[in-house]
Amino acid sequence: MSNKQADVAVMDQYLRADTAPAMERPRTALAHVAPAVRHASESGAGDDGNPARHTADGALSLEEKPVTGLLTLRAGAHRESLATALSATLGLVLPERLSSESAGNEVCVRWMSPDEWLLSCPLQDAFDLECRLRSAIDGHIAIVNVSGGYSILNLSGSAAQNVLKKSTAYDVHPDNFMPGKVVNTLMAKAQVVLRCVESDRYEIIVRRSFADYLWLWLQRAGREHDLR
Amino acid sequence: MFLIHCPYCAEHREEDEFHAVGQAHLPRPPDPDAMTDEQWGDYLYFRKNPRGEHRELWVHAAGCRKYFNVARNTQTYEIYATYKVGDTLDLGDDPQAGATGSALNRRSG
Ligand SMILES: [Zn+2]
Repeated sequence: MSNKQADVAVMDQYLRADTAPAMERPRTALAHVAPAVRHASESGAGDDGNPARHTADGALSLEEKPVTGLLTLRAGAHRESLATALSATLGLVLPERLSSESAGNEVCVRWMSPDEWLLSCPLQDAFDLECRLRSAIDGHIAIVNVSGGYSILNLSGSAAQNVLKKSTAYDVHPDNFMPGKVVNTLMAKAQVVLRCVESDRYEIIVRRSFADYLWLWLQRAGREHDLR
Repeated sequence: MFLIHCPYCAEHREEDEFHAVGQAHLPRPPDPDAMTDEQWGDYLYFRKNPRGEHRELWVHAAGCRKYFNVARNTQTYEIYATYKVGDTLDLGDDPQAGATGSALNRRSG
């Protein structure tokens, strides 16, 4: 087992908390947005200094999450083994088509494809979780840490659905897109993982090279609601 | 808006999410060594280009990234049905699947 963990560490981009040298919190894809806005507007940055925009009346809010742990899980024929490991490790069932399973606010597994899932967790837990899953798994399964590759945006408020309607062709009406549902789709031509977290609260996971573009798009789309 | 049904996501999605890949149902010859160069060349390079009903492979590129089969009309762009790789679908002589093929999609699950 210890051998197994050593093999993983070579490939992993984030070390465990007890072995990692003290490092600054990694920069998000939109880290450059926050300081520029603090000059222009007092309320530009979120509590953690992450970029955020709000309307005065609270009808719309857009912010980027700090860098989050993301693990891609893939399992074809041995999907039962992954399901067992996930339930033993996190107490979560493997989500079915277009759905997600959450444990608290920080951990969520999303269905991506019939043989692929995306797990999010706090960044500092990603390596340990990966190791625990690997030791619990018995079969042909791939786990890849993709934490550094994405930006996660939160879009919320009563006007959020309207902003989504301007940005994606996917039907985001609550009858079709209810809390917990996850779709891989296009938003302003950029590929995203869109999840309805709860009513009027959406999560958008986008490749970090598209994050700046999508941020500007959503900011512009929110202008009619006085997003600033 | 042109909606295509992905049999893996089991939903109709905007056509921008998909790419056409080419003719479907091209089984790899079981014994390539026994083939003439001409037969092998035909397998590799020659494709049907019918006007009318055609079977194609498409991929849900911006969605689940799975390949699936589409039975469609190259003249009217009508999609009779979509179905998973490995499945077969007999439309008969006169496809009665409806404008979007959604009735058949539901049946093929
Ligand atoms: Zn799909």
